[in-house]
Amino acid sequence: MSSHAPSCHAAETGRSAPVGSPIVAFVGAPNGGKSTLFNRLTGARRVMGNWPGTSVEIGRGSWRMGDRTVDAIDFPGTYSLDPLSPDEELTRNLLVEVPLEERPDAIVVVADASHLARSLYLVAQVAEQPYRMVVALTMNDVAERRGVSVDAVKLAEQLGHPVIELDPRRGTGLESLADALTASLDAPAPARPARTAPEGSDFDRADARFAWIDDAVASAVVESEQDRTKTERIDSLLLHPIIGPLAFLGVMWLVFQLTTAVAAPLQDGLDALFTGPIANGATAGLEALGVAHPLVVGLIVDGLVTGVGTVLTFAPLMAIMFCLLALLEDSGYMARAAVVTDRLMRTIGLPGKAFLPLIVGFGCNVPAVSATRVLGDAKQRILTALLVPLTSCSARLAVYVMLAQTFFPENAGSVVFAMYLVSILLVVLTGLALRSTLWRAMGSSALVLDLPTYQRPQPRLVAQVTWMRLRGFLQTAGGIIVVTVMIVWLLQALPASGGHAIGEVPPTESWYATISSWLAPVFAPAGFADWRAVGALITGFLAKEAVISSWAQTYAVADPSTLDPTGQGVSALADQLRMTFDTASGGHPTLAVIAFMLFLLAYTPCVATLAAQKREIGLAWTVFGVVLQLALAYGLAVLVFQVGVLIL
Amino acid sequence: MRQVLDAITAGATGHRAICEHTGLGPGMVEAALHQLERMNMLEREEIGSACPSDGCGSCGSASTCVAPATGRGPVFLTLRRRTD
Repeated sequence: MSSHAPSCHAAETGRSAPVGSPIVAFVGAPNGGKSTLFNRLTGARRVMGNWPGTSVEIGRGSWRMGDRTVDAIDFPGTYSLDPLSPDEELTRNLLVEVPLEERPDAIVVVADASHLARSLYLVAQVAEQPYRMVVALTMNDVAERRGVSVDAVKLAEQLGHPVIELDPRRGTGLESLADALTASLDAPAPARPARTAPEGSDFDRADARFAWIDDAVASAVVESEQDRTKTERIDSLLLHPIIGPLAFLGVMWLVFQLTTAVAAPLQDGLDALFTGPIANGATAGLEALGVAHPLVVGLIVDGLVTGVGTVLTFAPLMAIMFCLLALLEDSGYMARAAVVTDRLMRTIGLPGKAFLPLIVGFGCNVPAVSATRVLGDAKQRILTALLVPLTSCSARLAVYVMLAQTFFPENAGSVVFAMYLVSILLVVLTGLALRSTLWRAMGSSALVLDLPTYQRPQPRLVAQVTWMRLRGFLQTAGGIIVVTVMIVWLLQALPASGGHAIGEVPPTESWYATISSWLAPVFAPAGFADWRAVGALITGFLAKEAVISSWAQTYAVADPSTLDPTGQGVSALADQLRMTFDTASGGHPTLAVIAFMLFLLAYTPCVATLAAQKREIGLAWTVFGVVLQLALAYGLAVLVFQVGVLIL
Repeated sequence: MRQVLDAITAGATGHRAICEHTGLGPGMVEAALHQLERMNMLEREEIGSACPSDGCGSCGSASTCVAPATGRGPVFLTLRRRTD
């Protein structure tokens, strides 16, 4: 394209200056005021159009400098004569590649004083050609506001070319520019360049140019010491290699503590509503309709109403957590968290961008898996999608809270926090293991350039984000939970052997118990080989949110998940669980419940997550992920229990 | 430029750290980073959002999205390992 483009002297398109007028090229970086200057100088005598034989738009006009008229050409914004785009390629062709006699008679390089060093790179390259050159220094007011003061006279001495300070918007310095250019045009064209082009590799040449630029800037530019902004002062702590990660953990711990503590009374209220007026109303309604058969009542009241109630009582817990996360995001802190975790991401060969799907996974694994599609590299996408299930989603939080209050009432918050630490550790270690065995990803150090300033969170935005996420959680989990609770109720209502009517089956004689009993012995090495514990894991495979309610159904006690955490720890279900784990573990209930919680953390997440994985990474990788998670969960649970028994 | 590259390799993370490491002014550091990016030795990566760049319409999770909505994230430049 550009190789067929006519030179500046040959092209007639857009020429308005008389034939034979000197041609002056205006070049410079984008957004440096070049076109503003060009328009100011040429006024109405300019035309915009594609350069012949190209699709590059160039301005051309006539500039009257006293008695002389100049043919001015406004080249597209360019940072360098080493082109990265068709625009820059045309600029290079017309300024460097064509024979000397075909080139413009002079060049005005528009340099942005507020980004002077960057602008001078083009000046350095033009100076390596035998050109008449004038440097037009713009954005001087912006530079001053940033504490940058440029001595144009000294700069000119260093560059070996005139430097004119001007403001094209206000029209100042234009006469000086005209005078400088007139003097240049009156002088003979230089026989050789003002500076010798450096040799060597591209990097060596660029480095040599920067050395020249550094000398010029050092002699002519004074940058006043900028006081650290409030944001920078805070970042010196929050981005510190040691303080940063500790601060991040502290903030996350606070989030989870507040979530569990504040949600409690709200959950109590919702529970009272569903187990009271709504359940009673449903029963009364079925009786009024004459369909109060035990199976129907059980399915509707114990299944459907209970299931919906369970979903909605999670809402306060999720809403508070989502609200706190939204506050952190809008304040600007989450960007710092991304930086802190980015360093960790890169040690497992993942880009910083993977931080966000993983952090979303702590809310819900389903959208987190979908979010991996923003990773451009397929291997990174698969690796991240495989790691997402190891992030402890909010559904598992409810189970942690219940078990922590039951078995560790004095340290429940810390135990829950420890589960999240283990989750992070599993993500990192599994990522490292997968990277070194399946993929060899590049790990490189990152450089943070641009962080948003801290700001006061906007309540309206926080509320919108919170509602969006809560709605997503309810939509994703709601249907699954309700169906799961109904299925579990049905399995528990159907007798595995004869002798009982449907809906009147002792728990130990139901199909639920039978299936769970088949699997229970597998978990003997982990200390919880009891069908009631194992059955909850089966339920949890469908939906983690339904684990507690399925236990309640199994033990035929009230579901305590809607009570406050302290209440859960002293509920009838808590008593039953203590007995179960104590018996199953042979007198080591603490170890057994820790093993159980670790298994719950690491094993396959809900079927909705699997469906999302299949969509994003395919069936083969999804199956691989299931096998990996089960192996990891089982190995971890057995290891903790067996080693714990040996030590204690 | 070599000084800036050495500073990054040595672990400087951020403009101010590079300035302190190299003794160069902020403007020079900015210019050097810009040139390194142009020369494909640094890769720009924005991690402001987990969302697709072409908006919610193309996202299968749009109806249940829980990704951060504010998009106020950092821009990273990462050293690209040269293959030549």
